[in-house]
Amino acid sequence: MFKRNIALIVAVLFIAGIGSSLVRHRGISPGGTVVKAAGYGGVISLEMNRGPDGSITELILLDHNETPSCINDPANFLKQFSGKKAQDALALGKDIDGITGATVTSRAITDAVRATLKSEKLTTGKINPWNIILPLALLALALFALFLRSPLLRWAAMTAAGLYLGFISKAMFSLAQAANASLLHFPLFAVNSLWWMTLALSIIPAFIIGRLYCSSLCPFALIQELLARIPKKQTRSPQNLPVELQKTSSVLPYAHVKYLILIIVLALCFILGDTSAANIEVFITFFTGRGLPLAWVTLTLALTASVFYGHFWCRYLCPAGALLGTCASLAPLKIRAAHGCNSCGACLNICPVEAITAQGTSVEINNAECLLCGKCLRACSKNILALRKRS
Amino acid sequence: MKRSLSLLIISGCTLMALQIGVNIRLQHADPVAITETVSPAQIIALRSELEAKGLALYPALYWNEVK
Repeated sequence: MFKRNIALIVAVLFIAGIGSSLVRHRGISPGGTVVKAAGYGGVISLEMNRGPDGSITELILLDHNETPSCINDPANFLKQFSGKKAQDALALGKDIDGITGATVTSRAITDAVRATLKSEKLTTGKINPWNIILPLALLALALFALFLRSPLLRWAAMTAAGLYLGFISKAMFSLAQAANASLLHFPLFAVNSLWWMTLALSIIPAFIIGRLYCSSLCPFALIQELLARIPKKQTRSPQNLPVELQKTSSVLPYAHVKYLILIIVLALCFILGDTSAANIEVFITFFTGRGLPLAWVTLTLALTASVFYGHFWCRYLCPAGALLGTCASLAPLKIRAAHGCNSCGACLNICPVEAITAQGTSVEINNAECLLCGKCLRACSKNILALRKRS
Repeated sequence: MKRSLSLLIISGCTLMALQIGVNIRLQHADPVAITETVSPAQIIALRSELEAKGLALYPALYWNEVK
């Protein structure tokens, strides 16, 4: 019931984000980029649309606080940007004629458009096929690992994803990505196909089977899994009690914290109309090496805590994981136990995120928390756990 | 165990809340800097202050042209 309510709240926030974006930007189309320029009287907002080759097809003035007499007919000025690419110098006075009597405004718009084009490296519209093939191969490997119950294949998928998505491409599913999608801020597929692929790799499996991305494809999960293997003094006593005595995990309520963070961040993104509130994920700092001092402190805390509490970030604080967990709670497939449990408790003891609870001989797996690591499938001596249709 | 875990989670949440605050402030700082009530001298001072922190006014302002 709790997960259903969270799913409802998240869905409402997403719809609100999309609605507000449509209202704010008057129906901005996918592929359009909002360009903000520092004009004479404040921020000038423009929508920049581009063709497949990355050249500007249209520049639309959305909002401004300039002196009306200076910018009452911007159409002729903005028309000059059509066909311009990242390679073009866009020099005011040479390539672009300024608006008479509004040099600051003209220069601000020209500079902002040039900076946006350069920052997105729109040098070519050609799609790199490896950005599609490799993520799909990783997904296939993760699925094989799950269905074949092979820890070796899972480690292969995790390592390959950690190297490719984390260290090489630095393209991971993040809350900022989801927030951008909710505000209809999409990059062109030709320009940033990995953005689309990581979104698809994480969201689509989550809606069908659960958090496969979290277990086998998330680069930061690999780091946490490695940290959890550092030998240490036992902090969590094995639950060797008969299953009849097992109760709901005592630390599971802490897992709800990440849903709270998710809701607050999405609400802030919706209210502010941008994704500044969503840039809080430590794995971005870890793999890109960039971040505010606060981000580095949070990263240090997450890494240290992961040594003592396995998957600390995934279990308690990761808002992106919470979003995927919310999707997973609606998935038609989940790990379920057939009849015949002998109450050995092996699955409860091995689950790294304590997503399994049992009462008597009835075993229940919390799909929103389950990382689909497959350890319980291999640990079950009666082989009664499997991916089945939700009842 | 539960106490140390609680402390870690609370610390993590506090740090993330501070990060959200700083991110929002940074994102929405520019409009404050470029309203008409801010003088060219203040802009120059703000630019120096930001540059000292490794930040920059984005995009560049051209107050020398409106003096």
